Amino acid sequence: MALAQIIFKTIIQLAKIFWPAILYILLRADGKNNKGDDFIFIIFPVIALIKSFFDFIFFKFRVTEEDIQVKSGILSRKQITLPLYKIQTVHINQTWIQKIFNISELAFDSPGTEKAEITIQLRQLEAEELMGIVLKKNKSAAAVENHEEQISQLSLIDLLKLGLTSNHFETLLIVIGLFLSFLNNIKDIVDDYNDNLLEDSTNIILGSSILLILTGVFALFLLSILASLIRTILSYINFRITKSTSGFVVNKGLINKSQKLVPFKKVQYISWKTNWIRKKISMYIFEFHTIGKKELKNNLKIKVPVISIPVLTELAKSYSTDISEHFPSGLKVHPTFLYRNTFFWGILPVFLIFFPIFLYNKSFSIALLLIPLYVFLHYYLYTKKFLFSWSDNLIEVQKGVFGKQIVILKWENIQSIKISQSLYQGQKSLANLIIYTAGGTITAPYIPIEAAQELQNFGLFKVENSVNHWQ
Amino acid sequence: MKFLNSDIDISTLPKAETVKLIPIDGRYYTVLIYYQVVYFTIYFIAMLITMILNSEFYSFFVAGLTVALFTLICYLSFKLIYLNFKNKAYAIREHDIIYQTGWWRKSLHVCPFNRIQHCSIDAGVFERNLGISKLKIYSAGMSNSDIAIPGLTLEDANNLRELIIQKIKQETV
Repeated sequence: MALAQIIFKTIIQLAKIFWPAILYILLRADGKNNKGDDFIFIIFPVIALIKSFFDFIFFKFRVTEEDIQVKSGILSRKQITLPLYKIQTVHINQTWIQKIFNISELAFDSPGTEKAEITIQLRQLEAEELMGIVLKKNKSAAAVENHEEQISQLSLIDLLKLGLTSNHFETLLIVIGLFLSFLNNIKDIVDDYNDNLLEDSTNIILGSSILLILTGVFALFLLSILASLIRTILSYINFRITKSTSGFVVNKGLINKSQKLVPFKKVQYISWKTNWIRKKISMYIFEFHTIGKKELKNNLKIKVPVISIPVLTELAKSYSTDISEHFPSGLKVHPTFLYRNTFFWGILPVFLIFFPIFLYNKSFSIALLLIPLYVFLHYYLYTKKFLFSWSDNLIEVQKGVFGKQIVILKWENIQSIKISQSLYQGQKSLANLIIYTAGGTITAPYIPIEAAQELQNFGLFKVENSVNHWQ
Repeated sequence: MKFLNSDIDISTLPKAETVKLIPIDGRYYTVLIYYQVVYFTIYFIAMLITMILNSEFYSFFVAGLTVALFTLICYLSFKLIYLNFKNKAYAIREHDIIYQTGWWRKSLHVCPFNRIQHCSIDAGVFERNLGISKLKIYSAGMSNSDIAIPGLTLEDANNLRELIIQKIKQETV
């Protein structure tokens, strides 16, 4: 166990230190061998091994009734104490190397204090055991037996559906980006032999018939579909969500296994989104927005693909039981939002850069004129789909451009509310309502100022009267 | 606990927008002016150096035009600072704290006491010399949701902090 951990850490450290050196060796074309170069191949592994060894020796942790204590560091000793009641979420992660050695990484998240987060490497079984202990203590007196109820699991067909209906346009952009950088790299390497590979290939493409171009486009399209399929399968394979007494447990991953726990009471707001095709086969991506600034940054948002309406309802019910189909009141975005944004983000930038580019390259500058059209379409769809509605207990926001996203927020989960009004909005008696929560920010742009003020007052009333403390 | 869910008449709710706000201390304007003077001095020196180094390009007319433009930018910037300063104000209510700021984009931010995590007081070089400071109020929202009230006298800031800490204690008990 100990040995495995030391080796594992060494490999990781080596990989981190070494990749430029390895790259250098691989790309070293002249074939000459300097003896000094090889020296680093002995020094670095030794240093890395020694460091991992001492890191391991000096890493100590213990779990008491109230907190988890971790001591680490060789030269500067560091001690972290994380009170159990402050723990927001517990994750078990396992990369493929860790899987070989049967080690897992147990991570504890606490709100706000990014520095105080703890990760402990343990054997899989021990990690699960410790996770159980911590969760039990975190729940204190209310600890009930941990029976788990499976909510949803993705079959291969579901995965295929999910992959095929994902945003191919986005993947296409990634594929094109990768292709271009790949081309650039090749260009660098074969620079001596052929210094206008790009130009040559462009000329070939331009010289070929329309049929050939269409075939190329079609191939690119197929490639991006394939890429999104692979992306989806890699991120959602083995996906399973279960419900325990304290929260949802999300398991996923084939190569990099991960297990996440979402405690019910830490969820700030929920959202689910779908697109036109996914809606037809009732497929949604459900998201829990929990407390924590780090989760947003680290892409640790807890996303759950949902393949049927009952599952969606079940997940949503865990947050609030009275989500209704129709909310009594709703606000739409004022049309000036569309005109203003089209002008500032579409027409104005193009107007500024059009003439310089026109002088330089005429055909390209004509293509620029498509930008305002796209921006208009973007904001048109946004304005059309946006709906801010509320009831006594909940806020519901519908928004989206090509797809549609629905956000559900309890009034009590609001942290603070801001009304912001530009001079222009002032003339039209409009304002933006900005709602801050611990899981993210929700904005209602260009709504009537009176409505914004009423909502602000009502929100404050709800927050200030909320009996249970928010976390 | 008895469950209450009576109808709420929105028109009877306390209104945040009609609260009389307390403007911030005038010394804060002096601080802003100081900062601006420092910036503009640096810009001005940089501009002079550029002009001297490229003296063949800067005829009397071009140099005059540049200086005129610079003066105009200075004037507009001071004007903007004044307008922004004029619009900064705050108020304390029984359950929350209100902060208003901005001229071109005016905003009214309200943070309830039972959502405040902690608060801090800090002061820069000029602020310290003039005896004013800035009160920062942190909630658990994202980083841009924090409220920072500048231009409070040190005494006011300390009193406010004490008050907020008292309020947090009351609200969470």
